[in-house]
Amino acid sequence: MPALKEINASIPAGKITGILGPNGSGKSTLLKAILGLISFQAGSVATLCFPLYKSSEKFAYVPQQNEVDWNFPLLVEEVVSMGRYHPGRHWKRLSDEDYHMIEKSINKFSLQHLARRPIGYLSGGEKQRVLLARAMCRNAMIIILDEPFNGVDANTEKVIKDYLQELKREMRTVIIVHHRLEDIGSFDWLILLNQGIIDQGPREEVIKNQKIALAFGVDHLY
Amino acid sequence: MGGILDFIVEPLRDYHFMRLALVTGILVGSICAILSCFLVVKRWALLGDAISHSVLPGVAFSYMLGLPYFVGALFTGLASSWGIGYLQNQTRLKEDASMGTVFTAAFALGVAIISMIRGRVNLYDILFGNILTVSSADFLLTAIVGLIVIAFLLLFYRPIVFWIFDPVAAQVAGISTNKLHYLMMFLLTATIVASLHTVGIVMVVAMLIIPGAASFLLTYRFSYMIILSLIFGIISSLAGLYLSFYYDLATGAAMVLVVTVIFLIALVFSPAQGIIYSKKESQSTDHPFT
Repeated sequence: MPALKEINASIPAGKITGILGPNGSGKSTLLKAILGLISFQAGSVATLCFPLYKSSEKFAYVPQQNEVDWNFPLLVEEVVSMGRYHPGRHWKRLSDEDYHMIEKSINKFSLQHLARRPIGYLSGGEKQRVLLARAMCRNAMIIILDEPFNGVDANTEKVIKDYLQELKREMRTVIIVHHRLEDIGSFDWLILLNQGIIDQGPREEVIKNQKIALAFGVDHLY
Repeated sequence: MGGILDFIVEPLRDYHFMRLALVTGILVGSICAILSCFLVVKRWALLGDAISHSVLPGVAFSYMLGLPYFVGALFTGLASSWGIGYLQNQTRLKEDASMGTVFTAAFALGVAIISMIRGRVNLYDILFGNILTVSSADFLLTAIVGLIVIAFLLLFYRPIVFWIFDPVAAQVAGISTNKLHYLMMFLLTATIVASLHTVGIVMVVAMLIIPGAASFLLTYRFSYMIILSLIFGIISSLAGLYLSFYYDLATGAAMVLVVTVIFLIALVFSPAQGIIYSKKESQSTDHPFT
């Protein structure tokens, strides 16, 4: 039984795209297909993007907070430095450039005072900022975030939104999986998902088409 | 002072088997202790239990066919870890039932074969180890396996940590997590096989869990956890060996009892999860860091 059938979607480069759908609508499956982590019975995923100057990686991935093991004995800076991982040179010491990117990412998300704190001692918002910093130091062309607004405080929410705008200014492609109808103001493009694609296009158009009820069920509108 | 020195040196001076037992014991304690840190954070502690029991039929077959015991042991150990993975992924059974089914079945097969060829193999020694009968060939096997295990863990330290902490992001970063999975299974099986003569297949489970569990309670850095665990592993091998020499105890059991005492001490003094400090901490809202 395929989790998703006959998906035909395009995601614009250099824009912020929201994949919207209720729980169990196949958002994570689509995400993993884009990332090339699952095999499909038919079809393919092609990623063409702007040849970003000095970008070292194609993808950076920000998982849902509960997808990672926060009991792991690691410090914040150790988790951030995972962003600089490259297969093929994993036994080498980190280069000056690596350290520069790690420091820049830590500063960007105001984690300086937390850099040497064990990850088990962070609040929800701080955890999210650690995962964002790790993704940032990959310096990737396509940034994929799974429910980044879950369990974060208002301050972190603002930090995330500012960061998304910055990524867009740098012509990077952002894909966000999102299960609510709130906080979609910053998205340029929407894909409505519920088992299959309900609607897709520029945000205003999708909202005008009023198919959101189909994707989310009528309850969400009244 | 002279008394303590004699206590330590005398058995080594007088008995060749004690010298061999000492170096082999330290080696086994070290390999198990380092690996145990990875197993504890990966939540694979019980997989070690399952694989160690599944090694038994391999040992029995090897004796029947006149092969070196580690050939069969490695084979059935790896086969069972594959079988567990198959049940878990291809049926609706979860991890616990898959492991429970495979390892008890393999264990029963092993006991059955050994009872059939009674006399040629000492079941008690395989189950609980007898370090005092370790031969130079056993030592060599342990040393080679130890080198392989430690080399791999050092070489793949960063991808393994990344994979255990965050498997999906690790895959996105280009780590072949499947290969790492099987690599770890192989290292685990090889370690169990190498520890067979020293601590036995039942007691090796303790050496593969408790040193890592004790050090997990004491630190928030994985690198420190490995170093602490290594120290605990070596101390318990040494102390266990001397206890068994002087008080005529089963060596594997003595080692496990020592490491258990270390665990209990860690439990009391753990900075955040321990009995002493967590009481203190609950009085102030500050946590012990920053």
